[in-house]
Amino acid sequence: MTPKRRQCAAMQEYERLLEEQPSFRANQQRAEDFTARAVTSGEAGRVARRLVTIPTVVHVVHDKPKENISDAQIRSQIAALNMDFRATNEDTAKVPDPWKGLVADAKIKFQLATKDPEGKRSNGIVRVQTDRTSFGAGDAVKRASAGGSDAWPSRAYLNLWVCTLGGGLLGYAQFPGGPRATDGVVVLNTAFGTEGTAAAPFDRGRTLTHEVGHWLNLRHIWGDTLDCSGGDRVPDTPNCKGPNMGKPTYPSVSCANGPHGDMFMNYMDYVDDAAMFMFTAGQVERMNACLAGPRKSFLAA
Amino acid sequence: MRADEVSGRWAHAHEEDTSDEMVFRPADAELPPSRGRVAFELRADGSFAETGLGPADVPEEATGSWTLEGATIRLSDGAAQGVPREMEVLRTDKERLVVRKPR
Repeated sequence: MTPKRRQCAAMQEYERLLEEQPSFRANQQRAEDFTARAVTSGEAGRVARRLVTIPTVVHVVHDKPKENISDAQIRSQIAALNMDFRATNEDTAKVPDPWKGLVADAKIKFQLATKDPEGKRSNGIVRVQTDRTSFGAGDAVKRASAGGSDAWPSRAYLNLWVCTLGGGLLGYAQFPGGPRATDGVVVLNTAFGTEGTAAAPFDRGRTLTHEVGHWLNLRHIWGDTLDCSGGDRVPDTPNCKGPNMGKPTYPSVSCANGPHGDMFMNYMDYVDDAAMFMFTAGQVERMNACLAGPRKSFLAA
Repeated sequence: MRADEVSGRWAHAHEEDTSDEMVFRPADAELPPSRGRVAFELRADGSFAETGLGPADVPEEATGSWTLEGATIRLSDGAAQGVPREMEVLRTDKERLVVRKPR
């Protein structure tokens, strides 16, 4: 069978399965199965050959004036996100030697939308005044009726919501395959961008890099269990026990992963912005599989 | 150790952990933003509520029951990435609850 036909068969099966079982959990399982096939069949690799541009809309939901962050702060965030996804960030130089060869360019570019869903010119920034002093992880920020801002169509745009979050929350994401109305990423306004109200140690825009990783189906490098049993379904990130925080010292060994230890400088760990600076080739392959499958609507753009 | 000495709402102050100890602070303390911060409430009626880490950073909430035997707190099943199910209390006062870090 030629690669092209295998690709089509895989796509048709993906569509058929989506029709049959519309639940999020089932969608996620299918995304996993598709990812495994896309990686082994080379379909993910074909996506990787060209640059994919993701039109992006930023919903700034604000009550107090300082929450209405500037266009410049938003642009600083998009610039940081693009450097991280193209591996052009200067701090890749800090990647320990054993992993330098794994640093990978995702060939994904995020661009503030130039047209709104009706086709009118736009700067990709929506500003909404709210009477809510803060939001939680319950998605109210994504509903105009709840004091938030409605998503733009999630098959054509990456939706980012920037607001004040309660409980010390920095941000959260939605994996592919979830409800369209809530699809996207939410980030705390003081952890967004590299200037303005962005505050250390979350002032290098890495909260968004981490959350967009989830949006493109990446898992935490510790595999979301707090023993050594979980995995992130990526072969080139070492197994590790749980999240690393702050600014760890290399090497930090867990789960018999010595001598090099946890890859805590990976964007999908929980360290400070200044301590994370790489995606691996395996993670890029997962993101490409996501763009070949559950988020393939962005390939046509 | 008495149950009322450990009951209350606690949030993991991971910034204060050492290699051997996990430090919890009262949940109403001003803790800085974090990519993930587990928290739990031990109630006098023997029930607990907890907030664990979530796979897409949405905190996972769960409830269950707890007991105290000697200095060991035991929690029934809860969040997939919650606080340790068994915690040996090293010291506690109004400001902090310090337990031995599980191996």
